[in-house]
This record gives sequence, C-alpha cells and structure tokens, in this order.
Amino acid sequence: MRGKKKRGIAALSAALLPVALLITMLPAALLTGCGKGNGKQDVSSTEGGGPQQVADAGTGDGGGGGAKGRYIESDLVLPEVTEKIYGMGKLDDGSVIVAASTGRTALVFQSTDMGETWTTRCEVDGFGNSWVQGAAVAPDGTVAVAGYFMDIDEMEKNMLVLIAPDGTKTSTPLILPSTDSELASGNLAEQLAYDASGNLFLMDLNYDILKVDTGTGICTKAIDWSGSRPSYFGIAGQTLLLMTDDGMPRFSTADGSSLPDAAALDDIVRTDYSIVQKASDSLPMVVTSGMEEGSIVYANHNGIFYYKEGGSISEQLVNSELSSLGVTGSYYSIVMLDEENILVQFVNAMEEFQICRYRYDKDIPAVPEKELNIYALEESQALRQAVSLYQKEHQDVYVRLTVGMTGKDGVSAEDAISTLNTEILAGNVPDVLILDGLPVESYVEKGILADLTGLLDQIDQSDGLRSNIREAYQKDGGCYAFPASFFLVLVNGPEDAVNAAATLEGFADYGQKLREEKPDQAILKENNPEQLLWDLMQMDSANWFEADGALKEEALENFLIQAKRLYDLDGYPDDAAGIHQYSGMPVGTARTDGLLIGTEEITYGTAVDMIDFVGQFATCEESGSTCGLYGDGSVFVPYLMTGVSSSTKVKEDAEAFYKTLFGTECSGLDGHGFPVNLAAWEAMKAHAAETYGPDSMISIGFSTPDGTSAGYMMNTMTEENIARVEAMAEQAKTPANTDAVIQNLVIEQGLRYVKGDSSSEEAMAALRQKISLYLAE
Amino acid sequence: MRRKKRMAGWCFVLPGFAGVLLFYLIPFLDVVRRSFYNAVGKQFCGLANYRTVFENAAFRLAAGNTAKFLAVCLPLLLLLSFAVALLLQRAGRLAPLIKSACMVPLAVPAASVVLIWKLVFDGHGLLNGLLERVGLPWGSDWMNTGAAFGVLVFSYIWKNLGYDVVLWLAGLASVPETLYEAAKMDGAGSLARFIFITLPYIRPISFTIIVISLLNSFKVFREAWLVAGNYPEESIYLLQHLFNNWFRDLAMDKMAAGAVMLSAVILALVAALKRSWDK
Repeated sequence: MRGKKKRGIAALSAALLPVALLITMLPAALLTGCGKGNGKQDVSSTEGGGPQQVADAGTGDGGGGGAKGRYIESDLVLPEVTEKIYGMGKLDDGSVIVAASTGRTALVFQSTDMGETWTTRCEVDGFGNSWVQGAAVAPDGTVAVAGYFMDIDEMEKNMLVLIAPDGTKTSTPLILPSTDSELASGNLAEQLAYDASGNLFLMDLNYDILKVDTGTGICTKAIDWSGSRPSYFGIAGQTLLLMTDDGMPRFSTADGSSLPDAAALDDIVRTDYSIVQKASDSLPMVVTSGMEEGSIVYANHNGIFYYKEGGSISEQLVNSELSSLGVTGSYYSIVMLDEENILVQFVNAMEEFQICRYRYDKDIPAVPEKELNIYALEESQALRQAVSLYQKEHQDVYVRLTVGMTGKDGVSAEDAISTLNTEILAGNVPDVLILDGLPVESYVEKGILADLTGLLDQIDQSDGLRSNIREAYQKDGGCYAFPASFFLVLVNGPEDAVNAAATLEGFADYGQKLREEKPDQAILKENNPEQLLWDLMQMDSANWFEADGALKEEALENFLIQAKRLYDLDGYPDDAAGIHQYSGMPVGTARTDGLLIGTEEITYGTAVDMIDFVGQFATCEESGSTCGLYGDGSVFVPYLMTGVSSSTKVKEDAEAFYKTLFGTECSGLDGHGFPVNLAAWEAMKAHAAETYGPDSMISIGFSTPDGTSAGYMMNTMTEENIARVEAMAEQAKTPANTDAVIQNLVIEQGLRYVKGDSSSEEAMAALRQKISLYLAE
Repeated sequence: MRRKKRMAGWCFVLPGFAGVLLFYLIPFLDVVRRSFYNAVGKQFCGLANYRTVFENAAFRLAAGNTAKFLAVCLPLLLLLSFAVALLLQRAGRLAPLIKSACMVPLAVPAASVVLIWKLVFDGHGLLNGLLERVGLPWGSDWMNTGAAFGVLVFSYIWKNLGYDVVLWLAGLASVPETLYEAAKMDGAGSLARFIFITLPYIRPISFTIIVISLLNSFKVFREAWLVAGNYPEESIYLLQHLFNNWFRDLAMDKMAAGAVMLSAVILALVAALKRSWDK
C-alpha cells in the first residue's frame, strides 16, 4: 500500500513537471510575441495588393507579406481651372467624362487615356447664379445636373438640366412628390445617380429614392423601403445601395426588387458610423461597379475596397494611409476604368475639388519598405494634408500617423500621453512629434528631441523663416521644438476698447464703463465661461511666469479677477455658444457677427487665417469698429509645434517631412494658421489678394436674432489691409503659455471663481498650491 | 524519496513563481537599474536620482502625506474591524446579515464611490445641505480644504472594514471553544479570557491582516485621483499622484529612485513587523 503511494507521488511528479514547465515558459513565450511589431505586417494584411487580389476578392486571401504591387496615387489635372467638379463617369467605350463648372459655364471634359490628357467636349452656359444639388454622368455621356439655376429659370428650384453628348442642353422642372419637411422651399432633389442602363435616380427630402423620367421630369418611387432612414444612396451597375445606420440594403435598379443582404457590406456602415453621416453635398462613401459581374468598388476614409458578390469580406485595394483619401472623407464619385486604374473625385484638405488616379504598379513593394512614424495628440487637417503631400512625393516611405485622441474612443489627453510615454520608454520614439498638448519641456530635458537648428537654417535659406517667431524658441543655443504656424490674438470694437485692451485690467475697466453706459446691451461676444477663460488665457498667459519659470502670483491673481469682471459683464450661462475646433481645423474665436448686427460691443480671441481677417476688416468697415492686437501685440499662439526625435533611424525622411509640413503647399492654407515660412506667407498673401481682394464677389450671410439676415462682402483684402496683417505678424514675439497642466488647472479653478462657487482668495490659494506642486515635481 | 516529494512541491510552486518573476521581480530589477541611470536610461548617474528625489519638495510632501495616512488609517482600521468582529461573534442570528452588509462597500466600483463623494462633499453637495438645515456653518468645498484628508480616511475605512472584519472573524473562529470553557470553569473572567486566550491565538493571523491592510491602503489613490485629479488638495497628495505625474513628464529617473525607496520602506516595515511577531 505504502509502495503504491510512493509510486503514485513519483508518477504525479513526472506528469506535473512538464505541465509546470509549460505553464512557466508559456508567459515568456507569449511575451516575446507581445512586442510592438514593425507595423508592416498589419498594413500588408489589409492591403489587397492589386488585380490578382481583385480577382480573388471575397475569398479573404489578402496577400501582402513581401509581395510586390500596389496602387499608386497621382493627381489628374483638368485642362481648365474649374470652380467645381460636378461629377465623373465612365462611358461605354471606356473613356472617362468629367463635368465641371467655371462659375457661369459648365464644361464637359473627356479622356481616352485614363485621365492623362483631356479634351473639352462641350461648354454650356446658364450655370451662373446656380445652386447645384446633385449631378451624375450617364454611361452614354449625358450629364444630369439638378438644382436651382437662376439664369435658366428664376422661379424653378428643382430644375433638371441635361447636357447631351453633343453639348445640347435641355432643362426640365422636376416633379417631385410633396414633402413632410417644414422647409418653405418644399421638396428638393438631394443626390443624383445613373445606373448602368442609363436610368436616372435621385433622393429627395423624404429620403425616398425616385426614378426620374428625364423627358417629363416626373419622379416616381423606385423602391419600397420602410427600414432605417437612409442618409444617401449609391449605384453600382444595376444595384442600388441604401446607406443606413442599420446596414446597406440592396435593390435592383431594373425593377426595384430587394436583393439578398450582404453581411460584408452591412458591416461597413454598422462598424463605422461616420460613413452614414452625410453632412454636405459630398458623400462619406462613393460606390461603382467593379470589373466582374455584381462586384462593387467603393471608396471611403479608409481607402478603396472591392467587394465580390457573395464574398464574406471586402478586399482593400488602396490604404487611405498611403493616399490622400483619408484626409477629409468627402467624396463625389468613383470610376473603375479597368483592373489597374481607378479614379476618385473628392475634396482635399484645401477644400478644393480633386480627382486622383490610383494606378497599379506591379514592380513596387506592396508596402513601402521604410516607415516614418508621426505622432500627434489631436487631429489636424493641416497635418493630414502634409502627410498626404509627403506620401505622394515619397512612395517608398510608409507614413504612419498616430493620433492620440481621435475623439472616437473616449481616450483622454492623459491616457494618450501615458501610452506615448510607454512607447518612448520602450524605445519606440515617433520620428516626428507634433508637440501641441504634450509635455514639451520634459521631452526637451530628457533629450528626446533633436536640435532643429540645422534644419531650420535650411528652410530659412530656401524659403525664409519668420525671425521674430524663431527667436522665441531659441533655447540654450538650440531649438528643439518649433511651430509650423501661429495664431494672432485680437480685439475688435470701438477704438477706445482696443486701446484699453493694452492690459487685461484696462480691457475689463472699459467693459465695465460700457456696461454702465449701456445697461441693456450685451458687451462681449456670446461666450460660455470656459470659452471666455480659454480666450483670455491665450491673451494673458504669457505674463504668468518669470524667465526662470517661477510663477508670478500677482499676474495670475490679476488674471482671475479681470476674468471674473469680464464674465460678470454679461454672465453667459454654461451652455452659451462657444467655439470649438472642428474636425482638426482650428477656428478663429474672434467672431465678428455680433458686432455687425449690433448684439455686442466688443469681440476678442484668436485669428487663425486670412479669412478671419477678411471678417475683421469687413466688420471694421461696416460697423466703424477697430481691429487691433491685444496687449502690446507681441503675444501669439503657436500651432503645430513640431519636433524630430533625436534617436530617429530615418532622419532624412523625418527632416523631409518637416520641410513638407512647413512648406508652401501645406503651410498658410485657410484654417492652418499663419505660416512661419515666409514663402508660404507670401503665397498666402497672394491667395488672399486674389480671392478676397477688392474685386471679389464672394459674400457671407447669416441670420440675426430677430430673424432678418445680415452679411458682408468678402473683399476686404486690399494691399493696405494685407500690410496691416503683415505688421501684426511681425510684432508676434512671445508665445502664449501652452502648458496643458497649467491651462487645465487655471480653467478648473477659474471656472469655480467666475461662476461664484469660490472666492478669489480660495481660487488663488488652490491655484498657488497646485501650480507649486506641479513646478516642484 | 524526499527529493521526489520536493520535486512535486516545486511543480506546484513553479507556475505561480514564474508569474511573480516575470511580472514583478524582473521588472523591479529593471526599475532598480534605471534608478541609477538618467531619464531615458542611457547615462549612469550613480546616486544622483536619489539625491534629486530626496531634495524634491513634492516628494517630501507626498511621502509625508502617505506616511500620515498610513499612521492614521492602519491602527484605526485594525481596531475598528477587530471590535466589529468581536461584536459580530456575539451577534447570533444577525451575524451573517451584518457580515454581508460589511462586505457591500467592497463590491461598489470606485467610479460609483467617487460619484457619491462628489454628491456628498461638493460645495453644493448633500453634506452642506444637511449642515445648512441644522443651522451649522456650511459652504466649504470639502475636497478642496484640509477636510479632504478626513474624507479619504473615512473612505478607506468604509471600504476595507468589512474585509478586515471577515479576516478577524476567521482568526477568532480558529480559537478552540474548549479553551474558553476550561478557563471559564477555572474562574477566568471575560477580560482574562480575551487577554490570555484570544489575543495569543489570533496573533499569527493579525500579522497577515496588518500586511494586507497596509497594501490595500495604497489602493485609496484610485478614489483620490478620480475625485480630485492629478493635483488634489495638498493633504491628499499621495506618492501615487507624484508617480503618475512623473510618468506623464517621463521622469523615469525620479520615478525609479522613488519606487525603490518606497519598496525599501515597505519591505523594512514588513520585516520589522515580522521580527517583532516572531519574538
């Protein structure tokens, strides 16, 4: 019995030892696979690769690995400068048609060589003073445009204009069903599309899909759908697809019958809500038919995909990260010319219409061999534009842009910074860092960032750099972080107000004087308390610290007191309008609408581009107000503060990207801040003079609280005014404090104080203690 | 035979030990190494990081607050939970119900606790409402005053009391009833039985309870951080706040030195406790 027990223990030991060793070693083995990969596999696994994969689409065999072959993006250039591209289509003979407008004239271009060269097929007048709601190109080359054409029929708001292949123009009023909409204008056509048989369909304000009798203009319901409301629709061959947040139901355009559901297509809209959010006349996704019967090719902010009828997944043909497709997510049309050529019409970061060709190149690697890692805490259109430009010029480099706070997953700034720091400590320092919102000083101290002096000298020599801004970032003989652009801090109102705004105290005094004179009038622009503190912080925060970094307590206390005085002038509630950055595009907060319509006396905040100054100067002319810089004019707010990793292995690529970000093609565009690059500055001035100069016919309008409308002509960019902006930019010498910790602490305590939840002593004591702790750390 | 038995023992210990080795000991050794290097770990700097941390005012404040918190909370929790356990021993049929009630705070997620804190201790919160009703001075934003420390202590006790009570009850249950009966027959009173039977018998488990309570006290940071962020009222600025902020600033050098010192202090505390227990 005893012997049996001993044998049992021995057997148990023998059996357990390998299990124990396995369990012991398993975590180690698993951990070796937990390290960060080079990322290339991730990309190649989603990269379709090309024609072979197109043929295999639906099987889930993505290809990739060390494979060769990729679609390469290139811009197509139309023969004439156009204001708007209505649409694009492929004809039965394989050529491609583009319908565009120069303002008064509609132009139809044709290309028989995949968009390399274009001929103007016809020009049609009557498109001046028009409001186009939708356009489409039929397989026979007929162009259909629906909208309001004052030059054709001043009364008709739903006109269908058809431009036949020979250039003949016919116009017919669309006869739409009545609408439940409360719009006084009644029903309207929202979107047009042709099917492969040349039948024209549209969506109206009832969200119904209607088939159009192009001869009579009579529109009849094409499909019977009672499910989730569609945002828009698309047609691929003879298949009509409805984009709903529930899925993508399909119908035959021939008889309107419902087609079987396709899970792979449903997943597109179910997993990415942005694809069903149609916000303008562009679409979040465009579809067309593929080369195989029943196949669908579609483009959205993720890239271009191929879906084969009956397939369980869609195959990615073009990765948006390797193209310009993901920059704005606003598309108009897509055409698959053959297995190796796809055209997509979309809106680029400069808000211009663009057509790109994606041509399959079988000789280049499916995924670029080099990788450039860029990190930004927040989304930025300007950065996306730079990535897109750089990617186009450097097809051998894969640019991986990581945005810490996408706004889609609830990640806070702190979470994002922690994740970034973990990567940095693991040795994965991004090659280029956009430092807005990041602890710049710490990164400089720790030697994470390289000295940019040599690189900035190169840009200075080639394009010129604004020296007053550059001097502000010289530190210990080097420069480790430098902004691509900057915002100016303005005050607009009576001349006395602008003069009084030499200090925050003077500004508040003047506001109080006005309050006494005009007890029933709003003094400042409408602002929620947080926005007010934010704007005032941009104006005053440069004064809060000594040169050695010590806190100037009296300056901070004065800020709180003056902020409270300014808040008390009007006392806007928490839910009052504020201005927030929109989709990565900074928005100037010095709005002037209220000054124009007399609902406020003074406006203040930032100007981020020339358009902001167009409004400022127009306001000055219309209302007799004065526009000036806050304080002594030296404060500016840096934007796109950029650094290069000191340990980057792709230094040349990182520097090349830096030059692109600071270059004339990216810097100085509307909504990108005022450029530090002087060549970009000159280009911005020229663009402003041309677009918003005295000859400009562009106007802007808005509604007043009493229901009337107001507006101004955007023609104020005279030489004199441009020189004024230039003079303002030359004064900018002192950056506003952009330390996110300080900003958050001041906003937190400032809010409590201005709303009356704490006294100035309490707020200041709390701020003093918290900032001291922060500085002591 | 003994060797084989020992082998079987190792087989059971090895998986757990491997986890501890991989996820605690080896990373900790790396932390010790980093404490002698500069922030990005490239340059050896000797004891400079330790000097910097010692001279750091924020560290001194956080270490002081943490020590003060431990000094107040640990005895309070141990005494309170022991008293409740003793009462529960005599609670009869109600004992299981009270025991369950004591455990409820452990099941409440930290985020919910924080919400309750905010509702109660805000300037316009329930506590001030109550004070106003009974005519007492009110209006303080409790979490932004020195009272925040009291709130933190209360939260720690409230959350951990039930757990400690259960541990004490387990210890008390291990005392043989026959000893009490024999002592009673010998004429020993309640106090004598408590001092000469109960206390010696629960001595071994009390060591475990103290160590567990000590380690649990560091978890109170979650609530403190959720309610007051990275820079709370000075009295509840703990070492974990500081480490969190140092990580944001990538101050790995200071963090490593601070962590080594903290570990050394905890280790010394536990060792001293063990030694005094073993005597």
